[in-house]
Amino acid sequence: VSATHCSAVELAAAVRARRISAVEVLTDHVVRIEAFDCTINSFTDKTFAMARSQAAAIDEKVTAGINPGPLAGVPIAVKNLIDVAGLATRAGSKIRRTAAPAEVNAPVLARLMEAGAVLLGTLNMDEFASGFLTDNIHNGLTRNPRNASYIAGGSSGGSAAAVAAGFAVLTLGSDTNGSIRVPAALCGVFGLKPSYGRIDRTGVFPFVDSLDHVGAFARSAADLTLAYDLMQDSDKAFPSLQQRINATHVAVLDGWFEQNGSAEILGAVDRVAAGLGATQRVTLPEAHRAHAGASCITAFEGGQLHKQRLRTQPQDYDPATRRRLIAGALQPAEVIHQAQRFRYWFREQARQLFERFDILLAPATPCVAPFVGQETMIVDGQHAPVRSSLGLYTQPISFIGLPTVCVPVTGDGVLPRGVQIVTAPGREALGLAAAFQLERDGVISAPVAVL
Amino acid sequence: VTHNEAIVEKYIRAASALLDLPIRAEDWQGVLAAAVDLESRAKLLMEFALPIDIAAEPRFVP
Repeated sequence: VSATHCSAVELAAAVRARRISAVEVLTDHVVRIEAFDCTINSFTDKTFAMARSQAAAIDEKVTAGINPGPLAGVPIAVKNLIDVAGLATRAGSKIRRTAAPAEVNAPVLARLMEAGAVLLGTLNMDEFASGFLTDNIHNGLTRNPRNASYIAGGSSGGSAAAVAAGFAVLTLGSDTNGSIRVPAALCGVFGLKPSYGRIDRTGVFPFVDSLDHVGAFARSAADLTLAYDLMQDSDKAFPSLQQRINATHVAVLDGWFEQNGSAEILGAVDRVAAGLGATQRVTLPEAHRAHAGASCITAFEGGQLHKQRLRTQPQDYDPATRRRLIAGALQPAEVIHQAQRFRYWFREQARQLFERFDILLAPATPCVAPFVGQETMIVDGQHAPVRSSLGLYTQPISFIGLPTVCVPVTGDGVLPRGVQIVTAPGREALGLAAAFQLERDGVISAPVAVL
Repeated sequence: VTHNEAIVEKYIRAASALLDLPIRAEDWQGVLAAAVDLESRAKLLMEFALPIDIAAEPRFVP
């Protein structure tokens, strides 16, 4: 089996046991990237020379009898908005191409490197993380490794695609309104958006301060859990990964979360619910207003962040991004005040649900991956832009910072479908355990894409 | 142009001038479309009667 088809847990164990060297693992991944990323276009920077030094250093440690860590020799990559020492953190933009190179790795990346990971480079994204397509005017479109005629989703599309394609074993991304969960769903990989504030965002270029989360992508629940445990100190999920989920404490979200969903998407939710033995359905009230609130806050905070640049360098933005940011920045304060007030009310509704249930299930997207170039999809019986509609089911969840594991339902000859496993704040371990159980029972899987 | 779009257009012109955030001619229709979309979402929030004791805290904690 090629190293590109192994999990992080397997690879690190093999490197530590000297069954394979970190340099060999790296070489396998570099060969695959060089062969196929010309089609997928997931990478924006390839740091292969640096990676060779890192892999060699891992091998030297192993030879010297030193344990390089739980990610010994595991190839990883990060979204283009996470600081990598020596690179300008472009955040998918033209404007930041001339930014000073980061002096140090972002802490979240540094933690994985300290655990023995080898960095392959940075990954494509929507400009300034605004969008669900990863159709970047400056860096090009990232295609879906499951079928290159379809989009990868965004904004962390490069991160999801690289894992699905077998280019990297783990990747990091960010999620403001669904930017981890949407591409994870469309590309058929595992994605974790932890609780708001759980992961240190230092060195991560912001989009919407009150909604931004950092998280990870992987091809197995165990790998995702390992990454989560390494990214922070306040919670350790791996020890409880094999806990059995109590089916009576799991419910499927209805109402907003089943409106506009295609039959295959709703079928995937049912499959995951059956896998966990869940039979109950429950309503998270006014989710459509939460979706609206997330959109208004996003546009406003994003607009405020870029306001000065929009005055001085408007020509350097993607015109579509620029127009959205300007409209967002000009919103009346009254709307944002109300959106923030509504957010507290909506959080309370979720808290009440979590008094009865531990896990809530919902689709990640209304449909499977749209075609490249497809501009609209049907929402409420009308054509709506794909760019803004893919987050219908993710935005209400991140609006109140709930931890979510997006799990891949693959196979059956159709494109991947993602299901959100949502838990109460701080209960990532439970969501990861549910994902582990489903994977072990064969309900979900994230095989490397055939390229 | 609907009545609502006309109101949003008036607002955007005034806000752009007041906040010194110019809108280039080629962006005008796109900005207006985005503003109309945001206004329709804002309406969902503004029409919802929240209990009066709910405050908008400056820093969100889940």
